[in-house]
Amino acid sequence: MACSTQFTRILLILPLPEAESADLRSPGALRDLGQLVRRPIEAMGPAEGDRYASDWERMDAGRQAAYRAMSEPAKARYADWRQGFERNTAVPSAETRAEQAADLLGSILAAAATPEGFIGYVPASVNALSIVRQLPSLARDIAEAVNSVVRSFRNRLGRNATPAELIQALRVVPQWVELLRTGKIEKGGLNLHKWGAPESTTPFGWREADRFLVLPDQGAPKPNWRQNSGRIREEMHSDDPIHDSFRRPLSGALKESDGFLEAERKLLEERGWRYDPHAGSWNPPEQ
Amino acid sequence: MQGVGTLRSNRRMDDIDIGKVSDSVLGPVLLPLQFRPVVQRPDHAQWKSDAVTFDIIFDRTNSYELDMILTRHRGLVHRFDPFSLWQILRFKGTGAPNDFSNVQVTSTDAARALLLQMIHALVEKGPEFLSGSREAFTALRRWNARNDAAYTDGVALRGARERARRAWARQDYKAVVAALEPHLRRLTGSELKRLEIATTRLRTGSR
Repeated sequence: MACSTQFTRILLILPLPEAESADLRSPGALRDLGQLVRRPIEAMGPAEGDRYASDWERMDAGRQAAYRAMSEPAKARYADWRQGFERNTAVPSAETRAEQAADLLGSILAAAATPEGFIGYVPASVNALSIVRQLPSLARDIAEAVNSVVRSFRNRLGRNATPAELIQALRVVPQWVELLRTGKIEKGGLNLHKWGAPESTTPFGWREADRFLVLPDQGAPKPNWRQNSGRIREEMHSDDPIHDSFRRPLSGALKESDGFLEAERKLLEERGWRYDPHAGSWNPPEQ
Repeated sequence: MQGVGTLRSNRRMDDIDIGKVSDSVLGPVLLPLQFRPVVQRPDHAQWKSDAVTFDIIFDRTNSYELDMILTRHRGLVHRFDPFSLWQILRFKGTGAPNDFSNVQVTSTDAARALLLQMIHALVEKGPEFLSGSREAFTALRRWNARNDAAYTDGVALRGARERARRAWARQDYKAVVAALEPHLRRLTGSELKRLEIATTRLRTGSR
């Protein structure tokens, strides 16, 4: 297996919003995605992926090491390779942000998900792409999500992250899912949150201007709630959507809660605000 | 229980250090189960076994809510798969009047007593979650997905009912239909009747 063959196709396996339980490697899923981003997507089929995996597993350690050593010059050649790839595959240059994001993820997965993929290659490829300049937070989130997977397998000889593991990692980047769905990224704003929950403490997925209410302790729950609800009411006067970060990443369904968060939700409900699972936000009543 | 309250609690809290409290209360239960302490902070205690991460989260600056959370390690997925004790107890259908779904503590004594109750409930009702049973967590995950969907539907339905009620009062039948129609299967008899009347009047008015 020649090292260069890994780049003959983009391995693009994606967290489609409605496809949580579907086989994301199916041609249908990729065709749908291609229509969404108006960009042809070629996929490495499951059988082909399995063949790569078994080839790699059978390879002796010395040869695996040799392949890995090839990654360094390949990194240096990436920009040239990328241009050649675009020419050879006749994929038009990415124009919309969704196209750029699809392109970016295709590159990442091609590098990271194939068995002989270049461990440690992801940051270089991300930095090489224009999306970093245009959407730095998204690029960082995608790179971090993928890197976190690649890193966890770094010390296991012959074992990179599998596509399924990468898909799972990317599901924690809601911006990515939103971008695929809508072709655009909305600005952030006030986020209701559950104290200490992973959804609140994750470094991933935040948009520009996302924020929490952080208020001084008044010494007891009752005055704290009075202060909290007062500030929420003030925020409601602006009629800007109020985001709810304690939600399921793909469906947008609210996660059930109690306490302050539930009280905040009730406050919005009582004032006629409606929760939109697609946007993950509460919106003011229509006048 | 003294110091365990609701949003209405006006009691000033003492300087609760949930890390220390957890160490003394949970240690005797968790250590024999092969959990080891990983984090011990005033607002967070964490224990880990080979299969499960066990967290106590305490919001000591705003709501004073205390939560016991279990997460089964399974590669990356655990990042968004933590489950609170109340979810485990509801899933198990224990029917206990107190499922610890909304607990606030404002004193160290109350925190100690509450943690003791919580860990006993977990050991008694859901020991398979402490041992990290894959089947148990998978079943809980499915139940929880359905539960969240139903909860979100409930939020939407409540809003729709309120909009329909207001629209009915001002005889805005178009708004009544718009509010109720998406929730046909969950409407009460009187709501269905209103929807029928509103639809008829809309149709009549358009003729």
